[in-house]
Amino acid sequence: MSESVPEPEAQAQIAALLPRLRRFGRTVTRHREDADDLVQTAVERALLHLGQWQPGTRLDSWLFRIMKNAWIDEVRARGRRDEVLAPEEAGETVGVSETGRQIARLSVQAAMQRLPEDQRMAVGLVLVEGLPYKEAAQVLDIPIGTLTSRLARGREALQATLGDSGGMDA
Amino acid sequence: MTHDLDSMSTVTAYVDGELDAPRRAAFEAALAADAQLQQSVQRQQALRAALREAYDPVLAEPVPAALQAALAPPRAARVFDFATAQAQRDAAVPAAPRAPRWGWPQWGAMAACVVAGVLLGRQGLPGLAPAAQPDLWTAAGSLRAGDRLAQALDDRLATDPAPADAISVGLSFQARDGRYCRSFALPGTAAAPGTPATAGLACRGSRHWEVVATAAAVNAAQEPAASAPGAYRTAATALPPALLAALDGLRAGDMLDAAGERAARSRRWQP
Repeated sequence: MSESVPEPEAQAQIAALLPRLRRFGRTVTRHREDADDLVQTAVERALLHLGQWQPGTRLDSWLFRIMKNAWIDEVRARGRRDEVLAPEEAGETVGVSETGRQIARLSVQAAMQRLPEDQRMAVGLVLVEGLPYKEAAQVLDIPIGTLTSRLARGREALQATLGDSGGMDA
Repeated sequence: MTHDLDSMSTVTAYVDGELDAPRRAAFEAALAADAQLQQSVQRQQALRAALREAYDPVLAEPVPAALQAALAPPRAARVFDFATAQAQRDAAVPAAPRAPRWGWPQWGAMAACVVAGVLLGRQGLPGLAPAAQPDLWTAAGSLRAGDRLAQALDDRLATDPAPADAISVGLSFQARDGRYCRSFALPGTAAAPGTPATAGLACRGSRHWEVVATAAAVNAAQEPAASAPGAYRTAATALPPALLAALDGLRAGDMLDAAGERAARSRRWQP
């Protein structure tokens, strides 16, 4: 075990990123459980291959990329099985005191879940995680032009679903 | 939309912070004089805001224990320094390391190893008389309350006076999965003065209490009153913030009052 024990600082840095990794997982997958399984898998892979991370590059981008690859593997492994599964039931998060704000959140999440995989990842990385185009394109292994066109299509589809206000009229 | 694709991509690049300084200045100059352009920008900003609003709450959720356990240093020397380990990890001891439903089977073993190490650290301090049964122990991959703690959770009401063994039970509530859960605090060990007390949350299954979260207890005396706002937080034990967060994530409704607690106890904490 001691051979694969990574540097404590790297562990601490990854630990500090966990909330963001979970957020990205939530945008990438359609199910809450999948999101945490994805983060867990990615963290495990990251710890085993810590030597492949180049210091000076962004650790968050590196982890997002591992998550992206793990998710592609998983989707491939499931084949078309996943398409049969309905997106996560909104009812799960509906609490006692439903507010307009919570309803808006749920409709945005539902709109995201309807986007194709590639657009969802682009939107998640740039609009939710705030990555620059260049970083996001590297995470997804695509040219910047491909990234921006996925973003444009994703935005259009979200706005079409949510209405002109983007679903959030102040 | 009267803007052509080119100006649309400029709008999104502006909103995404991708324009360099000269292009940004030029765009902002045009923006000031163009109401339609302003509307486009606002529309894109609203979408960004809506997405953040939808997903940012994930950042405030407690990180699942299994994930935290992955990043806890498995070295004995560090794990044995229980106080530090607990303080660093904040929400600390993993309850039930859940293996992912896919990939990486060695994960579970690693997480379990950390749990065992932490428990050993707590129970195996030099000079401590071995307890008949630890208050926290692992069985079937989950962390359970030992006999003494389970008895306290079964029997004790939050309003009971502080008992001799000093295990106190604080808040009771019903979790989203229907189980009754209670917060508790275990005393620090007399043989190691200064060892922090442990606070935790346990949920009653059909046969035992599963400990779903633990953290180093907050010393109520040192904690400024202002940091524990809210009526129900005035219960016997001041809960560490990490536990309060975990509790808020678990509970389905309000805390049980004294009558609700008694009623749940009479049903042996079965929903």
